[in-house]
Amino acid sequence: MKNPAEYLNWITEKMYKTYSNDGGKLLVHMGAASWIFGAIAQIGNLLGNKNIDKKQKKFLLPQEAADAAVNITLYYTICEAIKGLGDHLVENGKLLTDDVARLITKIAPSKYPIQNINNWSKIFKPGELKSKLTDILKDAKNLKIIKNAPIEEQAKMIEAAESALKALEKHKNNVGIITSITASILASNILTPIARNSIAAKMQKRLQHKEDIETRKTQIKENITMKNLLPTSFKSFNNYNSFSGIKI
Amino acid sequence: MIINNGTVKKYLNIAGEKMHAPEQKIALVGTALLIQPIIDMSNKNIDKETRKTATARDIAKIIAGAITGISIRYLGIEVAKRLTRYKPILGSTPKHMTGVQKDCGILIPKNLIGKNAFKEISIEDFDNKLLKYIKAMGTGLATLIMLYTNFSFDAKKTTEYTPKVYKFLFNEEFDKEKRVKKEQKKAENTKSSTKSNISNTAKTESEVK
Repeated sequence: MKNPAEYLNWITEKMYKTYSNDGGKLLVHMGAASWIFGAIAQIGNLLGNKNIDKKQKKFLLPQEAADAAVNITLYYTICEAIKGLGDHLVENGKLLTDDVARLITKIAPSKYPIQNINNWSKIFKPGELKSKLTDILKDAKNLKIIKNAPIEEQAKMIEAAESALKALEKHKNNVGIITSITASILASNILTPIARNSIAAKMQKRLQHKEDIETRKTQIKENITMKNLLPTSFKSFNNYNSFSGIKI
Repeated sequence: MIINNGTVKKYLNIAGEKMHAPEQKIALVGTALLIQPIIDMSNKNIDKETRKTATARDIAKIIAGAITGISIRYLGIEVAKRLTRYKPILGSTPKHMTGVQKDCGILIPKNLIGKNAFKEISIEDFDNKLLKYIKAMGTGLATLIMLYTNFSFDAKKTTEYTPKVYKFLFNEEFDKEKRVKKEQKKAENTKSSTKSNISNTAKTESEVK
């Protein structure tokens, strides 16, 4: 069994490995976690609030529950999708800065330099570009262009690949932060309030309908002389039910 | 696409270096205060009274969440900073280091300072790596703290602020009973003032006569 110090080491190492180079990922994960904690607290508080009357609670509770479910699901899926798209564009080389592209072109051997930064992808053989750009640069020593280069030049080329990787990781982190913040605003402040309002209203109507039927059943139980059958639908129940008359 | 516009690159760098969890929360709060009340007030699925309560409650929730959310995120990062202090073992130059001394903070990850992490690194590079980790760890700590403050502060403050926000937005009491009493009192006042007006007019008429 691990002792507390080992647990702490495990946590710090995990945090460093998972989130240090990907701030956007952290924002998405921690954002979802805080939504979960927040929702639990708000529902608990609403249940115990005596200042809000029963009728309003009937709306607010489903609203809060719908809010929580929709918030968490929408937040996570939207953020993951938008951030994933940003990461994908960077990793495929579709969204790079000129600095990153320039550093990649510097991997080229001195005999065949690449002058135009738009031709950065020529450093890699077609099959190599199927993987993520960061993975390719991390494993630079296995790049064909480096393997085929004169031995005395390989170390310099690997060094250039490391610099390119560093710049690429920084760029990916920058894009990740922007995409996650944008996605979280879109998910939390625009899409979820609209979705949760319509879901909560539907839930409220369903609850109201259920309660009306229960009330009707109780009324029938209390009036033994009542011979009419229970109306089949809520609409017919409403048409039939005339509390001011003598039907009940 | 290759980004070569200086301004775009500048903002990309600012986002990556300066923005993190607290700034994300600030952005979220700002946009929430602008957008959510509009969405709530245009929700035609519910009656007017509930719509008003829902709007007031949402704004109260945003305010309460902002107070704790922003401050605790900054606090978490500050705590992480203090628990990751270190003294470098200097390398070939005073700007380079080969490791950290044993009495470093308890939150420094072993895979950042271990034997396999680096042979020699510039202190600036190490600090940059450490800062990214500090922000991540600080946000993690803040999330844990918020597990408690969500119950102890946010939820309670939401309840406390809702009537205030309601009164501010709609200029009437949040509590229905209070509102009814106020209206009754108003009606009584109007009645008595009408009565006194009538008696005054009668008096003046009799005096004239």
